[in-house]
Amino acid sequence: MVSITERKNMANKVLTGERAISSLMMDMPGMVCKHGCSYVACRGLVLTPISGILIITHGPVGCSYYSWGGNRLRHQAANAQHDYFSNSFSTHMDESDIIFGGEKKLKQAIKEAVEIFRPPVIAICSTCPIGLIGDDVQSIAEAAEKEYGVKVISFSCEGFRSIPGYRIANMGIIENVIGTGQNNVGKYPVNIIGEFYNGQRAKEIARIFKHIGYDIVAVLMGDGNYDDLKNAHQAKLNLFNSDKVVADLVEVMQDKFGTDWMGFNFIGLDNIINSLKNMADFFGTPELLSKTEDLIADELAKIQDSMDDYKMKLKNRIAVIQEDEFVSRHYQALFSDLDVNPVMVGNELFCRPGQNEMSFMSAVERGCSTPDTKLGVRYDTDLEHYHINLPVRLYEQIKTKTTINDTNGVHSKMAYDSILIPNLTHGETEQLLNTIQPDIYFPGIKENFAGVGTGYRSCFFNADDYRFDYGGFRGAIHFAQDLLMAINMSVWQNNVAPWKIDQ
Amino acid sequence: MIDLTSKEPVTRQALRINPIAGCQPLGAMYASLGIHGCMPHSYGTSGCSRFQKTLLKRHFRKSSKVTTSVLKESAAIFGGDANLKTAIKNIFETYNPEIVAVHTTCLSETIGDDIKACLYDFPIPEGKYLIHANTPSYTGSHITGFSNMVSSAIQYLAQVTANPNNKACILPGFINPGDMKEIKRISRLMGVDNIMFPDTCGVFGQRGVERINEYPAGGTKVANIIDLGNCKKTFALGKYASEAAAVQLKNQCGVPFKLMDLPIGIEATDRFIMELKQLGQQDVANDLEEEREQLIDIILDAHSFFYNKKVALFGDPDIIIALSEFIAGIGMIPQYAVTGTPGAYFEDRMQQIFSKYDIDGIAKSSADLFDLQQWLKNDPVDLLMGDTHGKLLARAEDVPLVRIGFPIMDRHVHSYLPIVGYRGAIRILEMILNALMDRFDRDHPENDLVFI
Repeated sequence: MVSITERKNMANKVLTGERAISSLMMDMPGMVCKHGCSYVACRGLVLTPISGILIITHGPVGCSYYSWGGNRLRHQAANAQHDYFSNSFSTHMDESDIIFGGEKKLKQAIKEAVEIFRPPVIAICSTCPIGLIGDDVQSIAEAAEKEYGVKVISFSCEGFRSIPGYRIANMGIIENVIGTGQNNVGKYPVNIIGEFYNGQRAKEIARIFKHIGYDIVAVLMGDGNYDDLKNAHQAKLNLFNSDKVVADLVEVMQDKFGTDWMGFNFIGLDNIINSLKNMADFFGTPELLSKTEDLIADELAKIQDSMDDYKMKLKNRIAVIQEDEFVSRHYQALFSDLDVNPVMVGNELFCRPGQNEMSFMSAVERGCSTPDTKLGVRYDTDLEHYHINLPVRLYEQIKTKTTINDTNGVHSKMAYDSILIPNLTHGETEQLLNTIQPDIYFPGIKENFAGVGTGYRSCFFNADDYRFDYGGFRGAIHFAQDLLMAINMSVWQNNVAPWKIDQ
Repeated sequence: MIDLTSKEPVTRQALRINPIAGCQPLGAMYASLGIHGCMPHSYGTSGCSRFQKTLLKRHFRKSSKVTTSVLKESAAIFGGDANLKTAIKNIFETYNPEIVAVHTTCLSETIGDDIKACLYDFPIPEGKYLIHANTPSYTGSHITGFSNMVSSAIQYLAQVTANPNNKACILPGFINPGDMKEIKRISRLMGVDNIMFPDTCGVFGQRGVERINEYPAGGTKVANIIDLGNCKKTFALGKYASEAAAVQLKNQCGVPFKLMDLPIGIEATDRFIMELKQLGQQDVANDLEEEREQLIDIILDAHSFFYNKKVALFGDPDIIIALSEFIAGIGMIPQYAVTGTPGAYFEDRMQQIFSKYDIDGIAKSSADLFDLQQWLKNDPVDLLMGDTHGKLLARAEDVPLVRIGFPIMDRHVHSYLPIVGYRGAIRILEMILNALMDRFDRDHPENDLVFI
């Protein structure tokens, strides 16, 4: 039997020198890509999960139709009367609106939305044609706010814009929403920023935080609500867990409100333990530290038996994971909990160490030199709401010990091995699979590689599909169950028809 | 909460709440995928193709390859010609398709790029094809886009040669691969050799290695689309999705056409089979006779369970028209029929059906689910029939939902099985009966439950 390292070397021999590293493949016209646009991220990633906001899509009906509902059906409304999640609103522009302008229709739509639903806040998301025909959405929003006494926020997230939509949405929220509330917060107030705070995982995180004594003030991009967001400036720490680009968001919040931030990850045991310990170190009280230690010991003891059992069943299996910028890192952490050897296979573009979409997008922006003043803006300190959490000396001391304002603290264990290939093709993936002979293959969420490697047992987890949940202390056990299910699924035995098997 | 909908009717001029139809590029993309070896190209931002591809993927549970021009600010200002040309060059180099089908989006249409001029004398590899359709998102719906793409493909490709092929051209409209397969089977049983365009059988459901430059085995071959000009007759199934293409083929190649409803239910299938009989000069096959008898038999057996039940239908116009006729013909009442696609024909045709069966129903085109929900609140029905988006409506109004149409994102298997033909009608009946009888059991106390 060939060891995995040798296999990897063989694979690299197969593949070296075949291709030159091309520039930004995702942005090349005519490539199969599953990238969204500014509107997708602005509405789908940031605004949709916030309950209490009525989102009007200003444009033709298509965009509102496709972004209706989505994958976050788990979210719990704070107030059912103002939960518009199940509905989709648009101005449904037709040809004459494109020719003569859609301002009149937008005004009328806001009027009707207010009359029918009486929402506390309305968000207007513009789609592609609006940027071209030049409707003045901003001033309509301001006028409507005065007229109806309802907060109206406009987001200029036309699909062709290079700025990621989540940045547009987050900046809009920082400017218009955060800092307007005056609720009292608990002793250890934190914000959670990241798209993974939803569903079962959110419940699990909330349970653990409550047990230790943290107060979750507001949630952005996860299951949150509008009223909480108003008070987000009162939190002392932003917990940031996103594979997206919001790193600049937390920095802006630090500039404006003095809220520190730290990376935070709730998938994989190491990540969870590190995250909890970092948080306790940040606040630094002995009470928190001891509670955290107790909780970790308790939870680990609870899952010990099952973990041992699964580890025995899965020991030394080999998994090939198609790397993408979203969930593959999480699988990597789960695999190392279970002693499975993950081999990351990836497109060079997506997975340079430490590179996420953030650095990619800034590269695009530098390369394309898209002119937009908002990108370089540093916010002035908001003296009314600014607070300093720690004496500077203490801050420096902690900074050397834990990792504040840096995501590196909670990176998962290094993968067993990684193979990075620029512009990986389907054919090359197949060669790789043939060489590595994995027990299971994860095509990733990008679907581009889903059809490859029919000979191998594969496990397809969709990014849109949040029915699974591998977060929290029991996450690795759920994952092990699903993994065994995929490996042992009887369909693999009947995969090939008997008349097609060589005699 | 979907239950925020008020009971008092409100008039709206601008706000569209809970739409029933998508935009044109979605239909155009589906039509292009029905061509063998075709790479659909969305001439717009990357978000458009992602949205539509995701919706198709959720319905068919299988992803498809679609490319995009990735238009950005510069394209919005200076036009997207350069992006389009680069894209087409890249597509032929990288993916090696037989044909590239470009469809526009609201962005490129608003910019006003003239694609025809842009692609005129653009060099493409020998023996390959390049077609385009104008599909602005701000007119019509995904059905319009489907129709536009099919007509454009015929306009670009279909030719008359000296050799008639003695085949029938079947334009099936926006239906599932399972339905297309059933229509082909019926046609074959009636001795009518046919070319179906577009044909998505074997495009979505197929397992197997798909290399970067390989395409699924299914789809109408380009040679067959060219050959459409030599057909004896066109059967255009569904006015909204197929009429434009049939007219195009008639004007271009002189192929006469017969415009019909989709063969859903007894009467529509009867009409379709009579037409096939006339063309094929062959008696109706025993298999089909047997299926029809089975269907009639089932209706007689189960009559008491669905008779006089009120139904609200929503979805694509061609399917809703045919379905309404079917259920009205078996004694149910299609009380409300709504579609998101604009066009007066829908309401006219529905009024015909209403008056034929003496039903006091409401039909509305260019409507949305908010309208329907308000009607339901004032005058409830026994059954909803429509796509997945009716799920929330069904829960809010506590009415069972039969999933039929596009998109069905929360169920498996449906795209493989037909709703057309006699077998399809049997399947629809089964779904209706299951929904109604489950509901009956749910609503009655334990001592009322029987095993029979």
